[in-house]
Amino acid sequence: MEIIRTRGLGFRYQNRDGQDTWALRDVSMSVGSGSFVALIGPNGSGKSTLAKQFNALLLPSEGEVVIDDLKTSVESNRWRIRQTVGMVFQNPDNQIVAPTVEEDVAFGPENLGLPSGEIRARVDEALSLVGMTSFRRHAPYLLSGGQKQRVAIAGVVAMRPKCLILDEPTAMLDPRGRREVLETMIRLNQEEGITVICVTHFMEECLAAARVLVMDGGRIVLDDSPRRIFQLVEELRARGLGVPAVAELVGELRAAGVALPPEILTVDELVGVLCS
Amino acid sequence: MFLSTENLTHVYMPGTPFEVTALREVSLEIHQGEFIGIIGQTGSGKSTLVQHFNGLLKPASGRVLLEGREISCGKGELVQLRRRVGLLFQFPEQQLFEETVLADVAFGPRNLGLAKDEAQARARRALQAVGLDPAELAERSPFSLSGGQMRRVAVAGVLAMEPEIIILDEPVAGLDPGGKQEIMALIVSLHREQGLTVILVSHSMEDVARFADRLFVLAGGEVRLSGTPAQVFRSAECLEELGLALPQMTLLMHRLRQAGKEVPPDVFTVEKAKEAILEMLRGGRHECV
Amino acid sequence: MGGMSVFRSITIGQYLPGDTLVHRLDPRAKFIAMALLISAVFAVNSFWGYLVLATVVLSLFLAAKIPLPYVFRGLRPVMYILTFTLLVHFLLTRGGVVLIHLGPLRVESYGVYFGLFMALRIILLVVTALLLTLTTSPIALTDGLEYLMKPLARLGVPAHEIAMMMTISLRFIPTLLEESEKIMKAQMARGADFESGNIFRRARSLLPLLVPLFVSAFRRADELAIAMEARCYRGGEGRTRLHELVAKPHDFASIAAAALLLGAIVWGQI
Repeated sequence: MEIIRTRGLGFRYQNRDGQDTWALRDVSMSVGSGSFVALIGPNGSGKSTLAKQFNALLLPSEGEVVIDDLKTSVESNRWRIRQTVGMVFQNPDNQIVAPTVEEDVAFGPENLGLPSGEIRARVDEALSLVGMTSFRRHAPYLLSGGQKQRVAIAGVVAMRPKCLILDEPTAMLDPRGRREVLETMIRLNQEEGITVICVTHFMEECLAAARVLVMDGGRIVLDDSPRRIFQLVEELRARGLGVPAVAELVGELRAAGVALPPEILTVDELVGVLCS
Repeated sequence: MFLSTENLTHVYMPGTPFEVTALREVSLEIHQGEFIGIIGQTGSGKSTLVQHFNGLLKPASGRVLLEGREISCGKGELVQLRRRVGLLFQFPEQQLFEETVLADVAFGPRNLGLAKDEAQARARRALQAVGLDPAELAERSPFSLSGGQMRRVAVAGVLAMEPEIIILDEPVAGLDPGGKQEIMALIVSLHREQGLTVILVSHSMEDVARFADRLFVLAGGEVRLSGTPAQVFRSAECLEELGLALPQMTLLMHRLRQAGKEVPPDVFTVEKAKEAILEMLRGGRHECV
Repeated sequence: MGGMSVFRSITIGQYLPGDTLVHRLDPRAKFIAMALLISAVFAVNSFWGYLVLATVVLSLFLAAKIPLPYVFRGLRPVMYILTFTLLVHFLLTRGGVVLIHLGPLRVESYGVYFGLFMALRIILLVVTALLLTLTTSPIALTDGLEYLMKPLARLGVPAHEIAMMMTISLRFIPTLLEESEKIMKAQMARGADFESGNIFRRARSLLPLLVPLFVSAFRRADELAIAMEARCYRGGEGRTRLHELVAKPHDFASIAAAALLLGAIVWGQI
């Protein structure tokens, strides 16, 4: 079952100097329900722009975007689309609206006009899913970056979306915060069946995904599992992208004649192979 | 020795219920021209430590010494201290405020009492040093630049003061891999070409290990490990305990050693790792692969 | 970590969680009762009136279990005004028995009475407001205000939007304070001096602090608006609340009690 489908999607805008620029060109892709997709690409590749098409924050200049059988170009669909596809952004602070954690998580359900009791239930459920229940009454400024980001995720999860999009959610976090957010994304995908699309440049997040989409110049240039994508060290390098150090090492060792299977991605896998 | 601390202790909000000892009897030495890395998790005290080097924070006890003399926080001396010891905070592009790029970079020199012409000349030199073209950017508003350019302008703003020491707090925070490489290359060139003493504060070992002469690893307000990167990485268990992620290649060596393989522990680049593994495969004929 | 130091020292008007009756009162009732109490403070003019009011306010503080240090800290901003008021009346207001007469210095009993009463009035005003903010969470305060402003909505006052702005401001004040501390330090590292010079120099020296703060605030507002839209925000129409305000008997009782008190004070003057 497809939850997101785009056909010939193009997006044009006016850049700083007033020129027409195409941020997306002829993007046709789909995302199946329940999948975990990583979206990577160099700066300016259009990955954030594409992500914002999925919840109608941006609309197509060409082609169409269909979310759960609803076209984003139809204005009356937008409300339902944004309930189906939730979005978490890069800056943890600039998503939190209320002076306490639970009030902020309640913001979404309040906007949906749900009765007070239902809101309470959803807030508790969402906080528990991200592991922030004990911080219910805290003020946001007392939280670490990773905790704030988890609150932002809870705020979206409380709307019970089918799909969660995260636009570089860990770019401003320290390693611990990144781990917390990654674990949360994995849990929501595996235990709650929520489709997760993560725009990122961190390798750990790509490796957690089942599918990696590589964008460059407004188009999707590669679409495959992490294992197969990260073998293409040369091509990714040429496009200005990083590659997991282990994948790079394996590539070098194979080039030097060592007999290793090509699809090794983690330290443990490599150790396992070298010691068997 | 150039910059040092003796039993430096710092307490936030002493005497209140929120009292926190951020630094505990920290003693360290930094020599002129070194490239130092200060590593630690959030809350380890690393940012607190470096803010003592330019007098933004005063010790609760202990001393901070520049060239053997205790730094003084008197009015006139502070400006001189901040000329010699430059400090760039995390997300430094947030400090840009002037109408033009040139004026912003010249802010530091102006504060040092330099005349407008001299200050602007320094500003132009600093812009070039960070890889930006003064002719193209001098009259533009800093807010019209890209994120990466803004960060470079912020670095130029500190360089224009012609410091002897430059402290950078998480200079690559929030950048993608390409941007990270560019800024790190810039910092390395400043170190090599201008002979600056560089202190890089980071929570990522991976970023710092390759370039630093020496590392200080902080946790709980104390220096837990110090030495060259090679020396520090031998204590892989300690680092793991402190929750600090080893560079991938170092972790690989560590795990191989745990499995009984003979590989050097102090490897942190793919190059060296490749050599080490090829060596290991050649040498150990009794090891099965 | 160090960013906390600046705003932790600001406890004026901070919410102190608790479970007393005063805490549990509906914020709308508290607003109305406070308005009535403040009217009483302005109306009072006799020794007994002051005594009654002071006792009522004191007992409310005891009922709300608020530690004394919070009261003193709340009064600190008005220390200068209080001292000024006392001095002016002690030294200048004439009437009654002469208490001190040393050369030009002359203090008479009416001066002492007026001074003390005026000071007491100021204290009661501040302390009543403090009682409200210490026992009511910021969200409850804005919710209460939003409800009370609804009648004004018919006159075109955007009650919901004002309440939303207050909520967001409350949320961001500590964050902005932290940010300004950080920006100040960054500029000081470049040799900026925020402390010396006359008032004009100091005002100018604030530019390197204010411009970045404003620029950042605008960007925050932008990003926050997008995040709110992504969570289906579309104004106050049809919005419900996590904590519904429900008026209970004790709320009406407290309003009635405050009204009676005001009535008694006014009647006592006649």
